[in-house]
Amino acid sequence: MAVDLTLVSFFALAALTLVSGAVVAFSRNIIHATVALLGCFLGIAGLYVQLSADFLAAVQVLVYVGGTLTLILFAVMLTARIEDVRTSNTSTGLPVGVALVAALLLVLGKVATTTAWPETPRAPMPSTAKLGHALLGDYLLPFELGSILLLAAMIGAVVLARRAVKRNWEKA
Amino acid sequence: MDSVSFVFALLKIALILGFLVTLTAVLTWVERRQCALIQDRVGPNRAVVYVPGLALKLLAGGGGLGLGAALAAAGMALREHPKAMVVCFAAAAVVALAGVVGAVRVPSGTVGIRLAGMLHPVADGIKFITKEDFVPPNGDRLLHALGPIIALFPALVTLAVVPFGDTLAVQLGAGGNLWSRLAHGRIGWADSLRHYHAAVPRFGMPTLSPDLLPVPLQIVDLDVGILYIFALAGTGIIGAAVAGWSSDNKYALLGGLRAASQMVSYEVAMGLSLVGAFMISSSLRLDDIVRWQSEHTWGIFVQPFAFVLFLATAVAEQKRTPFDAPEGESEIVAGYFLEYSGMKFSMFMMGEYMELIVSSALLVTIFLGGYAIPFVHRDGITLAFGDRVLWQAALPHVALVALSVLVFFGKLLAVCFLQLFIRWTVPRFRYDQVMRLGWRRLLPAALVNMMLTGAALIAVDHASAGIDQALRIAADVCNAVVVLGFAYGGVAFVRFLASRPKPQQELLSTSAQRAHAQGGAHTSPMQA
Amino acid sequence: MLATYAPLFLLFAVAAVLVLGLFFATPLLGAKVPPNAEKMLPFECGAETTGSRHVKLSVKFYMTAILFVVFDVEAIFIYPWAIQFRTLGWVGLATMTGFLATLALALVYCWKKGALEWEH
Repeated sequence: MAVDLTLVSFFALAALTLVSGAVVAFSRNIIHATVALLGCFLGIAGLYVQLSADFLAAVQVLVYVGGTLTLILFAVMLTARIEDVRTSNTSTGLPVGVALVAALLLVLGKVATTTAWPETPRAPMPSTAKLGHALLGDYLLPFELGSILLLAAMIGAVVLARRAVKRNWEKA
Repeated sequence: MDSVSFVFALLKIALILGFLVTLTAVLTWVERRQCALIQDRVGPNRAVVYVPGLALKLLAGGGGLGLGAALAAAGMALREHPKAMVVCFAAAAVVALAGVVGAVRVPSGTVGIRLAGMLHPVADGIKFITKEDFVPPNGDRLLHALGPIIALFPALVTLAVVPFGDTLAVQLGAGGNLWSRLAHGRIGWADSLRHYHAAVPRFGMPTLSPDLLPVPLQIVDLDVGILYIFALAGTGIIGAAVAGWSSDNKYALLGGLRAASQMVSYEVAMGLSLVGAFMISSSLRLDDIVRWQSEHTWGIFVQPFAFVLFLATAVAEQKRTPFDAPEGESEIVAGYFLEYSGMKFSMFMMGEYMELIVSSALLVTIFLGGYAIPFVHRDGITLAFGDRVLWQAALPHVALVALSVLVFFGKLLAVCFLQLFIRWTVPRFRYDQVMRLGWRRLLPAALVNMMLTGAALIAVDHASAGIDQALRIAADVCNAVVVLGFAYGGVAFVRFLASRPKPQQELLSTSAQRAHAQGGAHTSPMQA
Repeated sequence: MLATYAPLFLLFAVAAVLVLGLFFATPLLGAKVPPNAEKMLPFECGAETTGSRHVKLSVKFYMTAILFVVFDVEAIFIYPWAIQFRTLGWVGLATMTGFLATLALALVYCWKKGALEWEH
């Protein structure tokens, strides 16, 4: 009689993620596909919570929903006549895609079958403080290199956007 | 999850959501009242319910007498407890008398009930529901529906991690399951425990007894604390962008883009402005931040710049004046909710007011001590400067918790009032000014504040015992300043209420002077 | 896991019911007025609609979003550092100064290149 609520919530979250992912992949309307990403990201955040990675879950929503999704939405909205072109979201390169997905499934299946999964669920533990220690301890170099990566991203963005602005101006 | 914690969770959810929705309605009224006061207008006074005076007389008289009789009956039933009986009888007399006096004083004939415009939110609600539902025919129906839902939902649930009172402790009684133990229990803890507790320092939770059931006055206690609020607030951005896009209107699209762009710009500065507070309390949990403030002093004294930064970014996040370029009616009609009608339009408005309440709650929790009261600790009042205790008084646990809840909501209302006031004080910024302020002023300022806090914290942590002691005394002096400030404010407020403002007429224009010379212009009396 | 998050799920459920109730209030209870051609036009304060609704939008909006993602990721690194700050001490401050200096460089670059301008 006792329903395992953890299991139920896992399947609900997995379903949310997969269905939203399917909409992202198969919707012909690119805006719908973008907004469906919201469900996908939220579902994954929920799965992180289940794995007692609370900080990662918050970051997932903060960066992916608040940042990346907004970025993609802007990109789509700023694209001229995006809605008129109904075929803007057609799939191209089907054979390559199928091959890639098959390879990915193989790797994931291998990982799933060879990993020694813990039998008992772990107690929830706060992860933020541990991350702070790890970032400034064992992973100091990647942490500092991360800032250089961000710097590179920003310079790239500025260069791209400047070029776009200039081109618009030249046209006028 | 056992049934006891389930019921407690449900009660807390009902309290918080009820408070949010009610305060949202009240704030719309307060905002209009404030605006009217500042602009010397009558303000909301048109919503009125006409009631026959006789019915009102009967209601007041009958209600007063009926309630009085019920109270008297309750007093008779409590014969064994003389004190309670006396209180009941006194209350019965007062209620009955009030009812009779009220019945006499209600004028006969039709009476219009206006409640100083308090009926306006109700009238608005009825209007919103009965309006025609409009969906733009060439827009995206699905996304048009999703817009208000994504915008309102995060605003409703963000208050979950904010503690609205000190942890309530229940001493469980003996016997049976948790419910019957709860029924036999009492709020607070056994006296011996409290005496023990009075001996230990000024704070802390007695978790010594296994029979103690702590009930945190907070819907959910997450370790990521405030990141939960930031994450959900970020979700709201999508709502505005989607609403603007799906409305098939270029002004709505522009408004949606402006709103989303402005919200992301200020979210960075908003998040970084609070880092100093996190560094000091070493936690993202709001309860820890309040606890730190209750042990030391209010956050506004240790992070004054952060307070200003957070207030500015919070107003910008809510897209309220002076940051309301996304809905600037003089430029882009009405912004991203232009093509919404009825309750769907109201959902955006409600979301905005709820964000105001949530940001006020954050301001209170992080900078104004949250539910904490200066010099009041878990065992009562301890008036102390540093280690020097001047005066101590024990208070019962239930009184302390009730006081903390009242204080939290009181502070929250005050900060909401302050935030509303900004709207009528500062004119709208131009959009490029808004963006420049966010990226070029507030973001660098937040970063500088963070680094300065870091340097100061290291200095304090390595300070000698003497400096440490001096800092503790300084913190208590700050607390004393808060107490004195509130005492002065309270006295001033009572004096303001007691004073009768003299109506004074300033005749500024020549036409007004001429009219006054001829006996004055006559207008109908304003009913408000 | 569930003991911590169950109240949150409960809150989400109640809030969802509330939001959906509000959402369907007007379509269900509101006035039903037959549509007419005027009403179905995009509302522009009574002015005639000119041109397509797809106005050419400034690429600045996109630029802002990119900047936001970069600084958001930066903030994500800062939060765990902040709550461990008092145990990390000088080392933590020095490390974060290095990290922030790089990002300050990025901010200065954007500033100088005019990416933080919205005037044109």
